[in-house]
Amino acid sequence: MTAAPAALATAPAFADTPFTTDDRPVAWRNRDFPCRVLRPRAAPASVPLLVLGGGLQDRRSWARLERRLGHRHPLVIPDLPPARTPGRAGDRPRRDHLGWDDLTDAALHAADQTGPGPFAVLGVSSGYPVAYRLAQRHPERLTHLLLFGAAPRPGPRLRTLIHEGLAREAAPGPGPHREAAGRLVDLLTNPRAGADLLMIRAAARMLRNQLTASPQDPLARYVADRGQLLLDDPLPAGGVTGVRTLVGVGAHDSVTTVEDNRAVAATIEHATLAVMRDADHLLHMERDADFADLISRFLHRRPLTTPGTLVTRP
Amino acid sequence: MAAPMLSTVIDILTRQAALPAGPVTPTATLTEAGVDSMAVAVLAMVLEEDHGLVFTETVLSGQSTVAELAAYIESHRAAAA
Repeated sequence: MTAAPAALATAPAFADTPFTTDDRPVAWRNRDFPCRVLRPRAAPASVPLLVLGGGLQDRRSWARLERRLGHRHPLVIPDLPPARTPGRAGDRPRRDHLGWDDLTDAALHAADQTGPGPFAVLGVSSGYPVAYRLAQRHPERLTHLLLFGAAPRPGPRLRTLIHEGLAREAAPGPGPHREAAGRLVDLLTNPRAGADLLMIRAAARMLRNQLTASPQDPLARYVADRGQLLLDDPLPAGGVTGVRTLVGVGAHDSVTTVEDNRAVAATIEHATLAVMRDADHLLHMERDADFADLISRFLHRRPLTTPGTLVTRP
Repeated sequence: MAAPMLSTVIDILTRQAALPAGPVTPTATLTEAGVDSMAVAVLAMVLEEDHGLVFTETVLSGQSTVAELAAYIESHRAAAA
């Protein structure tokens, strides 16, 4: 549930893409936040898909998903506002801090960029609490709920790291952020599984490079964005009913384990659980083709026969 | 000797980095080929682990086309041999 698998980055933009892209500001309360909207050039095959990534991701982190789904599905990818300004940890909650309900309201405003009609929502990592709340509070708007890398609450390693991030934020140190980046990467990936799996190693390397190069302390940034919120009930009581739901997890995910995701799925009526082999928390990067295939199959009610994926009821 | 390296690079990008094969042609720019930071990380790791060639992602992603990327790698391989 954490974080973030970050930026897949440098999104290639093909000259003859089968979709158009539009970066626009979304006016929300007394601020704007940016939102990327993709529309297929051909008639769309489904309702829009609202994509809510994790804490270290942004709207340009989904280039591979765009390439695999953008020709058929409108995509709405907002940069939801951070829960608070980095460097202002203080005692929570403060009046200018945002909570899960605020972010859910912002996400609904982003979804409205393609009109007031129904949409599907994809919540990955710490995007999941927002997606879950959208389904819980606005089931009439949602056709599908897809959650990947969810957990009822942060595990002990993540809780420790969040508290360390709060301490770092209160007393920032100089110099590069290699150590903080390494801690985050070791948490979000599974080094033991990576010893045998190239894509897990590669995702970890890429994430480490990006976080190390960041001008901000990545751990402090993560905590200020949504990390601190994870300490406050990421999974609200009451469950979800009436929304077709898929919960997915990498078999080697060590930060939001298969059992964590199973527990979240168990709170959702008729949810389906998909466990993807050879992947960890960054499954959308490590198995991007299968990740997109699974999403597409679920949106179109096709059999979930994605290779290397075990589908069960929770 | 550039042709075998070109074949190797295309193979790594499409089979191991999982890029769709269609756009990964010799004359394609890295952007046109869909080479993103994940693909560059995979390429750097495979070159290092399987071929003993060490490159930074910055250097690899700074090449213009797929063919130029392969030629750059090959020139450094030959120089190191």
